[in-house]
Amino acid sequence: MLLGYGFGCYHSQMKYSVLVLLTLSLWGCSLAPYETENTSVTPEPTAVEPQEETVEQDVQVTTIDDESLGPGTVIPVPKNPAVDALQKEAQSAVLAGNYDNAAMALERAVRIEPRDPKVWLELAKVRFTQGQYAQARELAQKARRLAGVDGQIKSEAERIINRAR
Amino acid sequence: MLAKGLLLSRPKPEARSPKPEARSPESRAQSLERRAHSPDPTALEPHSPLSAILPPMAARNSRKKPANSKKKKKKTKSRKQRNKRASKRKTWLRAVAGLAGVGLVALLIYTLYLDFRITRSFEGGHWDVPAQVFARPLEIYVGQNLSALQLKEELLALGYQRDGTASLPGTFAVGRDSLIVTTRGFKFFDGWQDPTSLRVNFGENYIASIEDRGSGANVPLARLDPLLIGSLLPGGGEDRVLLTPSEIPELLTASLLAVEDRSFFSHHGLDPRGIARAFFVNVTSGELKQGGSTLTQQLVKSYYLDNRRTFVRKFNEAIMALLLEIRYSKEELLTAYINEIFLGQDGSRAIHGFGLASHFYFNKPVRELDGHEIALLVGMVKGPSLYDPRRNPERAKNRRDLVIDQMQAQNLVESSRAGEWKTHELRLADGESNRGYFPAYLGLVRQQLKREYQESDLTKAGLRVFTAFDPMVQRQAETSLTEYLSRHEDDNLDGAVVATTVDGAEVIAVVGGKRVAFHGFNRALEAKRPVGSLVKPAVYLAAFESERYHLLSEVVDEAIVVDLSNTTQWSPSNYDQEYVGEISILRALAESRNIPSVRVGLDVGIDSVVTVLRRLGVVGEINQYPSLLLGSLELTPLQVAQMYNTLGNGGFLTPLKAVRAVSDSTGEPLGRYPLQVRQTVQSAPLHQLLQGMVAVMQRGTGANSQSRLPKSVAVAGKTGTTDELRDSWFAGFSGNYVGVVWLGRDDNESTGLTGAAGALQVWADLMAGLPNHGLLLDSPDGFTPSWVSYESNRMTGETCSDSWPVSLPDSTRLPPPAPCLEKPRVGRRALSWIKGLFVE
Repeated sequence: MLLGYGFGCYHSQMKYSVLVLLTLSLWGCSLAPYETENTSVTPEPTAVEPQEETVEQDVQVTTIDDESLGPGTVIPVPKNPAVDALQKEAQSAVLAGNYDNAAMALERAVRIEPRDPKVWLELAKVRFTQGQYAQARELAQKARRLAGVDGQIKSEAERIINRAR
Repeated sequence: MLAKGLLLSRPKPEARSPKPEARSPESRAQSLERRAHSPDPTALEPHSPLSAILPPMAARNSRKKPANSKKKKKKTKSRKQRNKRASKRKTWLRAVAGLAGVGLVALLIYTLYLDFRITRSFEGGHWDVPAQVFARPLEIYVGQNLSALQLKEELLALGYQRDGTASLPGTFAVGRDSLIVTTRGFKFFDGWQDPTSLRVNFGENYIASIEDRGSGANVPLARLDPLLIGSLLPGGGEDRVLLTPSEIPELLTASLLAVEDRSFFSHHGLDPRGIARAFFVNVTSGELKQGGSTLTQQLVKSYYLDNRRTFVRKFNEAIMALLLEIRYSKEELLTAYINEIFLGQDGSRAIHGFGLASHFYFNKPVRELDGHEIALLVGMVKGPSLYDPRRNPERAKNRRDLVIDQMQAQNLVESSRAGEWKTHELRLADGESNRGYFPAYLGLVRQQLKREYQESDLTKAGLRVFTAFDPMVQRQAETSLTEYLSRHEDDNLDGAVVATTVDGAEVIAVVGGKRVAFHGFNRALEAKRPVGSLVKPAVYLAAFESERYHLLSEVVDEAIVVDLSNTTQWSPSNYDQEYVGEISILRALAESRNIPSVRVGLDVGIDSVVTVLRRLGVVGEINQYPSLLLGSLELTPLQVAQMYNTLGNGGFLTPLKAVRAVSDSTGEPLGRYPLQVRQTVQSAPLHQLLQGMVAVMQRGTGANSQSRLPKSVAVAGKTGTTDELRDSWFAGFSGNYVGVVWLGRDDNESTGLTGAAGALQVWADLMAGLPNHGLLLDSPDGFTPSWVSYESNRMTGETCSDSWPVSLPDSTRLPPPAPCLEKPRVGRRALSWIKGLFVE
């Protein structure tokens, strides 16, 4: 269940509906309000929200977490298209044998979506292929840590950790 | 002998910067002048340099005469009476011949010396192309939190021009909920990227979609060319945007020559007619008014930062100009001139060269300057402060129009076009948006690169350095610090800020002091200060790792005396001088009690605290005294950022970096700093610690930041305060940013501020302006969530009074339960969000 990954973000938009919440969590936290000094055109939404709504928010989150989906469920999640594009770029670089370029594309993806375990896993694979086993193992550990309850990523990460020993 | 004496008395060439060197020769020149009363006016005449140099040398020699003649007197004593007259004449003749010879030698040496000086100035940094440092390129992607306003600001900072069609590279236009732009082509480290025409559609403060304006296809991501944030110059002092010959617009060169030196390509460094004219004016007016300087002479003058018009200076300048012309080509000199000439002052920062001036006045690269803008800059050469377009707009505009007339007279522009140029108002970049000078960050870049590159590579080889610098975060960090300090009465209070990304461990902003554009003491990198309570997370981490403590373990908060040796004792105390008795580690950490930290640290061993600090990335000396447990350890804000980055990064130590990659002057890749991670702290102890650090922000010493930060974004951190309030620290992180703030005084006097009263305020301000993701505390395997009563440290239920969520290892022996007092609904709401932190 990748929900965990959206949880830390607490988008103000979350209160609207479960569907919105699910969609947003795909983009990680990318829709969290962003203010810079002097430029904030809209007031920070959560700060002025009445307490009532905060509760409502949390209730919803808990409900989804505990009941609607159940632990261990893997939800097929459409990815951040930018991360997707970079992963594809990395894949073709790997096919061309250009591992450095693959790593560069994946690091760009990490910057965009640092909590996406898939990206870390891909980076671990690239390092493994390059024979950088120690780094591959560490990166896979990072992927496993971020995988939450995503069983597939977890087991792939563990496979790399074991093989890179 | 005389020549040798002269050599010895010469100022030793020293220091890389031409400045100190420049002063001493000047004083020498002045003393020469003083000795030579009534200097021959021909001293200015380049064709008879001998006559010019002789009088001062003769005068100098004559001062030595007493000693000389005494010797001779002794020698000739016996013959004195026999041939008094002849001997006298002979001695006199010999003296004259000797003087002439010595004078010639001295002149030769002097010329060689001038040659040495000017060549060194020319080649020492002014001529070479220093490394150019770029900010991170802004990535634009669907779903990103970026408003149209922010994108517009970035484009303006990059010098993109507003243009209705936005069809040329470097232009954009803003529509309703959308923005069209044609990006510039750029050679990134991973290859050339062509210009692309995009339409970016915005939702509310995020990017909803991006289309290619040519094909209409959806674009998942695009990146802008990166902002040039400075160059690494020898000595590290000035900022400059160096232009290579191919980057200099022809119109700039041509109009510069038209206005400043029309015979540049035919003279040999000096323009006799110009000098004659100037000389005439000066003699008839009785003062030094006019200088018929060629570009080459102006270049020499510019190297020595002195505008006094003395004859000897003029003479030196002339010789040096001739020497430069012998050694270098016209094109080299012209390029150096365009990069060197002084064009204004921005506070403490001198604006040298057209490249930087173009950014400073118009906020765009030279190649995008319009003709009238070139004319303005060229006109300013004559007097950068007199014709300062910001201070004296009317005068500057007149001067610009005069230059446009000259351009037209030289057929550099058609008359209709020239007329059109004159109709333009002075459109200058406002001082705010173009404060593009970040010496503190450049200091870090230099520090990182020095490990792999020679200083000479950095300052000469024209490297292109790609960094993680984020101008938006930097601006936020600068504003947060300077606004706080400006509200504060103590003028001596200063500070530093470091911001990093959590997972990539990239340093994205550095503020080295309240004078942010000042190249000087960089407190973020250089101020080593005791960290105070910032060390406590390491102490408790060591405790959790020992498995003899957990988050709810109780520690006695009572006075303690520690034996340091047989004779000395140490009695640490709490900040409030009070003792609360038994207290959970959760509370002890949140409220920053000192005694529990000392007790726990001594119990698990100071050495194990030290190893934790090492694994968090602290390098350098760590004294293993008990006072370490209260933060006697001295670290720079940057080192603290490394330590807290490891905590925020799930126990993965990733060395902080500013530089992502370096390519050579042609854009070919040289080296990259790849993302390297190493897990140095296990999830189980760290998870307990982080819960305590979240409690700091909710219940403890960091709680007063709550009103500034959106409740929806969970953060963790720690305050730090040192003895007598000398240092006010705060270090903390959200899910994606780490921020470290230090406030203190350079004289190490008391600031009167605790970490919470000072640094935390700056930190909260910084974080409130960043696109934060909330911290995510996902429990590792084998952890079970439960509720504890925060004050009494008894297990309780969610709806009970004072309940606080915790997640502990299944094996933990929990405190006994307490009867549940239902808490009022309001209190429940305030706390309930935090429960969501713990993902099971």
